[in-house]
Amino acid sequence: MAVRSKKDSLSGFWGRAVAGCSLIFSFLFLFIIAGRNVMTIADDFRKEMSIQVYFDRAISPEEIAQAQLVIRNMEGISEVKFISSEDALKFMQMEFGSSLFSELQTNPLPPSFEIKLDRDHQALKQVRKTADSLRAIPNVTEVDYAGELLGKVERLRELVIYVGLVFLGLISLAATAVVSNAAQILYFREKEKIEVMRMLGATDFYMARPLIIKGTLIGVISALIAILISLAIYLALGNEFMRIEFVPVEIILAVMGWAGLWGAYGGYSGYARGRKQRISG
Amino acid sequence: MIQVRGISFSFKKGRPIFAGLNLEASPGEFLVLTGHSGSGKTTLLRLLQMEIFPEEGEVNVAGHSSKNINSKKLVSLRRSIGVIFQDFRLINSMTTSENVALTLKVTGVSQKWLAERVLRTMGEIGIANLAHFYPEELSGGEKQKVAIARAIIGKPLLLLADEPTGSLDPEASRGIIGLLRKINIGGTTVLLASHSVSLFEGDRYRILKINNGLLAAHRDNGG
Repeated sequence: MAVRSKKDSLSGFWGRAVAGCSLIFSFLFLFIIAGRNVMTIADDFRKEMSIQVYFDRAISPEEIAQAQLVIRNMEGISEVKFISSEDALKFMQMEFGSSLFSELQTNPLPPSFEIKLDRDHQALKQVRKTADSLRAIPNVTEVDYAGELLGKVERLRELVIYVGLVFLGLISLAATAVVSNAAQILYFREKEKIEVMRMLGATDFYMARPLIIKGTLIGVISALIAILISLAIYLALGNEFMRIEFVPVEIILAVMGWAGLWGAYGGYSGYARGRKQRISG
Repeated sequence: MIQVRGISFSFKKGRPIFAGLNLEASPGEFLVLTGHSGSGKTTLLRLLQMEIFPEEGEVNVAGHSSKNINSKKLVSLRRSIGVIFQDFRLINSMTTSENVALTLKVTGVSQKWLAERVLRTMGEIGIANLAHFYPEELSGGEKQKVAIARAIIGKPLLLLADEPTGSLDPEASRGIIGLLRKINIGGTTVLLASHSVSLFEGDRYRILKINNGLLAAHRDNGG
């Protein structure tokens, strides 16, 4: 009876450790989902972003062809689309209504190129460099791109990465602390048994092994529960609301492996802390 | 088997327990260590197990010296020593046979040999019928027999017993001493700490008394 009650109390004890770690890992997965969402939005913005290069209205067709050749040969250019003055006016009329432009004697809109950059040249620094090169082309009057907005998107991207790393560090520490404390408490609960085993000639690894195994299991099971919690929240929010899919399998497996390793480390550190207190105590 | 040469030891901020203590024990001897409460009997046993170390001098047990022992050798030393305590130190969540088996389990003996050796050892001690009981279901004398079985199953060279009869009635105490004597006759060196020597009269024991941190012959029955 006493043995059963001790087992019950221990299972409740490990249950609380699993619950604590599951909660911690749920935050991590929700952060991964939110972070990936932000990154995807930022990537989409970068992908859609274009540079407008405006020319002097007096530019000749030969000079336009020459400029187009120069632009196409520039590094990092993926797409070049010419918009003549006439096309620009037609677009404006479609956008704002033809009556607005009916009084005009001449077309005031300059010819331009709409330029898109390849994936490796979409960062703000490279966009600025490309814009400077474009400004140096003869007859170019203005180079326009959403630099300020791109800067904000880039800062947001960096913020997500930095916060993610700090968050990952904090999660690791919190999960290790939970497992380590659980293992240390178990060490003291099992202190007599461990002391007897030490007296009988057990190695440190033999004595720490059950705590390492339990720590690993806590890590892996908690990560699995956290996945289910995150999936439930993700589905409850509605898939169509989100722009991206759920956490990919590779990341789930990586987090589970990482959680298992930290759990094992937590188990061993709990044993080591308990042993240290035994020696100094 | 045991060589203790000029050891000094004191606990932190406490008075010295030993100052230049010497002790020699040959293989197969049965030594009884006596002295008043707090004289250092348990401390000496802990020094022999190398659970604690002397500040000066050297403890040498079964070829292991306190001066150069490392964690690997310490494990090897503990596997060659059997230890018995007054409070038995049995694990209450395990049956008696599991308690006895633990000595071999920690050394990695295969499951195949384990059951056979546990039953044989428990049979030798006369507690084979208690194999499936939990320690809480046993009397003091029975618990001590289980502790003895656990201490000797690994065939130790040295058996250290700290007040093994301290919490037992006279009849159970005589039974335990008889059992330890039988183990000693089998070749195991026994070092037993006891505050009372009345149980050892008329037998072949070397009795040593700790007095003011030094050992002196109390009585030598066997010659």
